[in-house]
Amino acid sequence: MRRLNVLALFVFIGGLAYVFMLDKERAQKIQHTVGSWFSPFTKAGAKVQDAIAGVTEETKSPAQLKQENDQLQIIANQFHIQQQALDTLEKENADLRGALEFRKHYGFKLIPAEIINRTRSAWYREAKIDKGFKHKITEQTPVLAAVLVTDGGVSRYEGALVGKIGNVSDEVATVVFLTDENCRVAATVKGLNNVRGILMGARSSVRESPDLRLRFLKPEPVLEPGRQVLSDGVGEVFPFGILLGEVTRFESGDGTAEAAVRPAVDFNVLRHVFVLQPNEDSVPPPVLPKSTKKS
Amino acid sequence: MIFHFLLFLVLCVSMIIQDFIPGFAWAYHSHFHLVAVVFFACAVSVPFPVMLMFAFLTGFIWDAKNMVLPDESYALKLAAENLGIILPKAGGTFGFSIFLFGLFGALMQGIRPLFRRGRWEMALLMAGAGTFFLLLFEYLWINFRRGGLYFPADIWYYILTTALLSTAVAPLAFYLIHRLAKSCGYHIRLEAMAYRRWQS
Repeated sequence: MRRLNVLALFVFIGGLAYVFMLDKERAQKIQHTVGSWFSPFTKAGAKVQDAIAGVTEETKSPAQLKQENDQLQIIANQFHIQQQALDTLEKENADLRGALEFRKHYGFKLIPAEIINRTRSAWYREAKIDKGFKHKITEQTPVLAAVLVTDGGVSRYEGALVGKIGNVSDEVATVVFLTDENCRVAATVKGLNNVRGILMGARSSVRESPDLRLRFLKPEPVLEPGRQVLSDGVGEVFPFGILLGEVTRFESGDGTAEAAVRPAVDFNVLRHVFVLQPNEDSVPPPVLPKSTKKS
Repeated sequence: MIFHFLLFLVLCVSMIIQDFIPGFAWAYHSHFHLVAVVFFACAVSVPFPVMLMFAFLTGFIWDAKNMVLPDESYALKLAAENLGIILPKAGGTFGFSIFLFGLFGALMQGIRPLFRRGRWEMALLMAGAGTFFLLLFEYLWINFRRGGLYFPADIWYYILTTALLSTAVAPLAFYLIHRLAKSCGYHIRLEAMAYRRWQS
């Protein structure tokens, strides 16, 4: 082997080792910078992909468009009401935390966004939205969609979790869907506040819409199908009570149990989403001390 | 030097074009993996140190564009702590594509003497096989990170169809690089070493 080749190989291995040792923050910064270079092309590419994929789709009639518009108007109003409810809850929450000598409080605002490109692979379940760093979207923030929920014979629109923001570039952000194994949310069951687990996507084939798994549950109580699964609110990234899905099956094993959960959102038809963004005056969550980690 | 710089530009353009290529719904959303094909065509056309540089840059940009990093949020750590569990890292490893491109680029270098004699068929097949194994290794690594091995039939179809589609466009990539070399006065093919079937 020539001396130059050996030298090049050593430089390559050294560079590779350096990249492997990058911490997450630095890797995110690199992703942000590189993503921003390519984001105009990603956006334009998404439009072209959409146009190609849309060739076979039927054109909607004006009546259908009007009906869709009316429905969206209702959703918008629901979200407006929900926002007010969230503000009230946030104030109440802040008061309670104040009593517990918490100095920080979190507020949320909804940023509407449109899905421009959907990744369909067994690797990741994600989509790109048309909003990015320029629209003050940051990593790890929750993404919601309006879903029609029927409770006690009454139907209403409610915000359900779609996933969370992964990579962010200037104009485009990636939403990691709740059905991806990398999107894991602390969850509880409606009406059973002592039931806690981690909700995550289940591995499935490319064509299937995967179910979710609520893992690390205690064998008791047994969860009946139909029970609603909500976000736990631990760590204050996701507010408490966001609808995640519905229990379809409960399986208990040796000292632990898990439940199959059908997501509240239909990911195949999803188009418009809302990014739940902390208000500007809020501060990032505290860093967890490493010494408190349980083994 | 100019040729190598132009090849790097071609690689960057292939990454842009990749964003415009839709997946085929009828074929398990498989697609033309243009970046891999162009990289393999470049890898067989340039000397070993330049190939390593290309592998590094391609893998780096690829991961920066597409990699989903593991969730290490405070909220998740706290939730896991409350439950008394340790969650495995489910995201990808930043830099893993550099390793893969470097590995398969080195394999392409193995058939470079043949390619320089004008036998491009093997390089074409290797580009397809390289795409197949690139996707397979990526998937295996994600499985390893997430724990357990899950391999439904359509994953095989997806990987195989993407590799076949990529092999179909590989001649275009090789032709483009050949034209580029010609216009730059760069000699990929060694005429003295070429098989002279018709003359012998």
